[in-house]
Amino acid sequence: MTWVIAVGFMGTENGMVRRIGDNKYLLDARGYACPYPQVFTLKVIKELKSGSIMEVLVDNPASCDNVPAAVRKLGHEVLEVRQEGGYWRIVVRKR
Amino acid sequence: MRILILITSSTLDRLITLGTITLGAVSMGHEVAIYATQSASFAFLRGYADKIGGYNSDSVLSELAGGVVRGYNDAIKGGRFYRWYEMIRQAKEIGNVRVYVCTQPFELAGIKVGLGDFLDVVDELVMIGKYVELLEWCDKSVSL
Repeated sequence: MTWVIAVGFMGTENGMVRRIGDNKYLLDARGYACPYPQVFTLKVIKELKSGSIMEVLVDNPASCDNVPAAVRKLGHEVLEVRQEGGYWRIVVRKR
Repeated sequence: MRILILITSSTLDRLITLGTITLGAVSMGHEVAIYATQSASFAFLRGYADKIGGYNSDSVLSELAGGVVRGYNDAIKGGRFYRWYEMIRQAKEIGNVRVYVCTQPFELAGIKVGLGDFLDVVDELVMIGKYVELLEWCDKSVSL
């Protein structure tokens, strides 16, 4: 199995992650069930430079608590969690 | 943290839980050891893992449980979820996971097996001594 996000995701429109600014990335985890929003978020954040910003889109309410908690547990910062229609945007900064 | 997961069942409800806990824990940097015994040992056999579709629940919940199985299969077809053993394989790609399969059920059934009979996620075929060793190794133990 190949990780959807593993192949050339940096700065590309490949898979679920794309660059949306300088050191700023968007991960679209909508449509994925537990544990994948958390797994994808933590896997991608591992690849980023310190101080990078990542926005994560999720569409199940449990991920709103679960993803930020896992991000904080690993020492990263959760800047914002906000609902946008039928999904949520979680903004994190890598430590 | 070092987590030991003991699994004795081969139904999909337990196997999905096994994959989910393993992948979730590894994504957060924890180490996982899986010890499979009884019918869970059979679940890791090549040729059977893909066919497992039974989801154990009380009969009053059977319609809901059926929905889980349908949703599981549909999400796999759509590339938005993965089979329970693929979850273990993914976990092994990103962290430290070892899978141990107890051979006692095979001995009782009179079946000779070798490591080649099992999915490639399996690391060793073992007996009870390994389980006790893993209990000493782990910080937390989970039974499924």
